[in-house]
Amino acid sequence: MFQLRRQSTPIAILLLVTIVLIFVDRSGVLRGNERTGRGWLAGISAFFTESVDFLGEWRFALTHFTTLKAENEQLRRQLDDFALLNARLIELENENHQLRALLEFKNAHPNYLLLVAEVTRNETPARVVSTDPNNLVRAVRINQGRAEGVDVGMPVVTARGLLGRVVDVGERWAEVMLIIDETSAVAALDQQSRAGGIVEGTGTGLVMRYIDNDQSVEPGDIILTSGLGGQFPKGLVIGTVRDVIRKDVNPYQEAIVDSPVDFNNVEYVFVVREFRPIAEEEVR
Amino acid sequence: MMWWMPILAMLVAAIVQATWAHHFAIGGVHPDLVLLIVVAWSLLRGTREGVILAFLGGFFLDLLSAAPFGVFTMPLLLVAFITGLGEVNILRSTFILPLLVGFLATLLYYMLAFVMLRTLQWPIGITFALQTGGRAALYNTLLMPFVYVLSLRLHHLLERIEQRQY
Repeated sequence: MFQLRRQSTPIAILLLVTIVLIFVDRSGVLRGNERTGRGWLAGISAFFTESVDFLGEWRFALTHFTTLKAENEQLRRQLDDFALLNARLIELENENHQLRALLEFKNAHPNYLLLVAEVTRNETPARVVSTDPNNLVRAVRINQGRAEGVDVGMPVVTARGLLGRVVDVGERWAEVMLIIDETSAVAALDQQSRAGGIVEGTGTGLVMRYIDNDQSVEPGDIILTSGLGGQFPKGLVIGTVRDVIRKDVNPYQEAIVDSPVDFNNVEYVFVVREFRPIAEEEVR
Repeated sequence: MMWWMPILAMLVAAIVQATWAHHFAIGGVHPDLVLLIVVAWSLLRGTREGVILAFLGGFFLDLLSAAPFGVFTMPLLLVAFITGLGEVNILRSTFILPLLVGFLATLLYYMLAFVMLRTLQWPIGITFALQTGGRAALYNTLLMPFVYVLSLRLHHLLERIEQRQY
């Protein structure tokens, strides 16, 4: 009994500290406050990712060095140079492709005030990567914050479609809740039939709910943001209908929606800082 | 053990979980590195050290997460406390107990995380939480032997250092 009480003392103290911290967080003091350490943790995360990537690249080069050791010195050097140059060219090509897609998106939506941010990095130098460490929460952290004009509630998009919404912001970072998160809900409409509904996250995908049974929704239809509620601009691509679930007992039908966005490998994103509702004809 | 060692260890573990774990995601679930370390360490070293690691790991994960503060810290503390009560003595060399504890601890951790999220008004569904918790429990159980072996080696090293000091 005495031993259990002795063992319970540290956890009692730490539980108390945690409860105090929860109340402090609930009061809103911790949110977006740089002094809480979120800012420097974002910095450390970026540094860590870059370091690990660098080690990975180095190990990759070493592996190739060993393989090519059988070749003569001259040929090995040439191959090393070629391999590095080739990797760089592919990376540049990928980067060019992504930026071109973003430019096309920007040109297609001249009424948005857009801000480019980078969520993840692969082979290109610098910039932050961070996804939510909690399996029950789908969010990413980007390297743009209050200093760049980012604020809570701003929509975040990729060249392929809607990504999510800013839920917390610091000086140089912002937390983006993905639309596939279980708590996410986006007012949406079917581009073909104009049927309205709510696209909700399931944790791993998207489902459009509350579509009237008398409305027509078919697999292959494109689902867009409707702009209702004012949280998202109208006409952003959410995804394509994969399947429709209709039940006689249910007044509403549901549609399984596939997003064109690869939520696990997002690199560049736009934060939509300002937008105005656009006319329905523009959506079409 | 130097006071800064657990802080550094849990900071690195939390950052690895936030920056790299998603590359190893299977079925939408990535490994819970911090949880695995906390469970292994609690089994080997008892409640006292376990809850300290749990608090540090949970604190850093909460700072890295979009969820309300406490969603990591509170479940980790309770899991470490319960795991630490069954501090391993006889079965240290077997893998069965850590595997079983790893599985059950992950399930408990996700249930507590779900309760925390709902308590803090985060509208998460029970079905999603159970499905995710189940998948994570299987994934974490597969990884538990690796974390446990590394923790065991570190524990033996610390034991030798402590014996030398006394």
